[in-house]
Amino acid sequence: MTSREAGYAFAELRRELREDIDAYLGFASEYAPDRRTFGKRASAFLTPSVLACFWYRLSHYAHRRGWRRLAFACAWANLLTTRASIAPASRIGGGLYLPHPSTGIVFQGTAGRNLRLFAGSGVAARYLPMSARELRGAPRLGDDVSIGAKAFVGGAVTIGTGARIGFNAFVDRDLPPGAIVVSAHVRSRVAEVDQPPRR
Amino acid sequence: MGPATMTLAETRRRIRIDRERLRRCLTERGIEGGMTFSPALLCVRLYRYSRYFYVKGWRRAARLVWQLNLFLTGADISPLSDLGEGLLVVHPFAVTISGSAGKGLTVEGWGGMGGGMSLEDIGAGPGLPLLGDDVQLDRSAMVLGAVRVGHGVRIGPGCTVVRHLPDGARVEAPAVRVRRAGEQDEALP
Repeated sequence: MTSREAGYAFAELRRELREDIDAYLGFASEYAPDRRTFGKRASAFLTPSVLACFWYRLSHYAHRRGWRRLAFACAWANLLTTRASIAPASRIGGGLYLPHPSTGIVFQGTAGRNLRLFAGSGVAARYLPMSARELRGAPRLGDDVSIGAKAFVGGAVTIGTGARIGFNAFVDRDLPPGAIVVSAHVRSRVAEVDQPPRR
Repeated sequence: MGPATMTLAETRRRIRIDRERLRRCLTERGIEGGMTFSPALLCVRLYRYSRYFYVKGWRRAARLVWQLNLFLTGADISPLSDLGEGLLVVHPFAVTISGSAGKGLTVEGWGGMGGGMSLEDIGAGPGLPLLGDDVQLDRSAMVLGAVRVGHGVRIGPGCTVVRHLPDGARVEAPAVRVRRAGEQDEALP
């Protein structure tokens, strides 16, 4: 299949990547407020978080142009350099934030702007490999969705705008806008610690 | 630990069946292509060859291919593991497999199977699990320790199994609670 899908210009790629960098710097400034100079942006670009976004955007651009081999080469480069598995067919709006891509983040689906994928999270169709050229049975996410560490959204579900999915939660059904999902695993039981023997 | 011999013909036969399994995954949804650049296929293929080298006694070659698999796809599938044909690893990164399994094992990603706290050997190696045919491990599911998992068992996302499971058992994912801002918690059915 070499069909060429319209509507994704290189200028759009650059704009979305700029938004990704802004999202990264926005989070970084929570810890150390700073001016957004060119040097800061260049430094941010070289972090794995933004590199993963860059490789994904490039692979998606190639996918939309019908350059399938280049698209998968970029997806492989992403897997090798940052360890993020993002299907080239996925559509993700600007402001994507991946704080820890090396934890094996998987994304396969569509999402609006300002998506946040935390460590080890996954959004994918069930049992569909990353190399699939089409996204059948993949999740659709609205704007400002946040997926917590180790959480997984699987199957053809729709996640409303502003939904927040917490740590280790598994979601396989639709969620309304603004929903907050909490896993039963958020509380750990602390085993009783033996007292040290008295002398 | 499985068969004492593993011929090249048998390795290729298993790879062919693995490939067919992956193809079915795509064609069942009406998706054409998507096989050539698949990390899912590469990781299984590299594991099969590392297993072949290991059984043949070429330990260094087995280790090299295992390491190549780890580097390229992020899957840690030990050449000591004996896995039947029809193996499917959907998203290979952060998948760890040590132990033995029958035909048609499915690993969705970010999990797998491996050693527990004891070194008891039930036929898969010291402290390693023994899985039956058509076992399915959903995302982040793990089987740990010297446990037997029956045929057709499905282990839900995020579940960790440390005990024996009978044929056809289903291990459900932990429940979640969903709420909207300003509303009471509502348990999902």
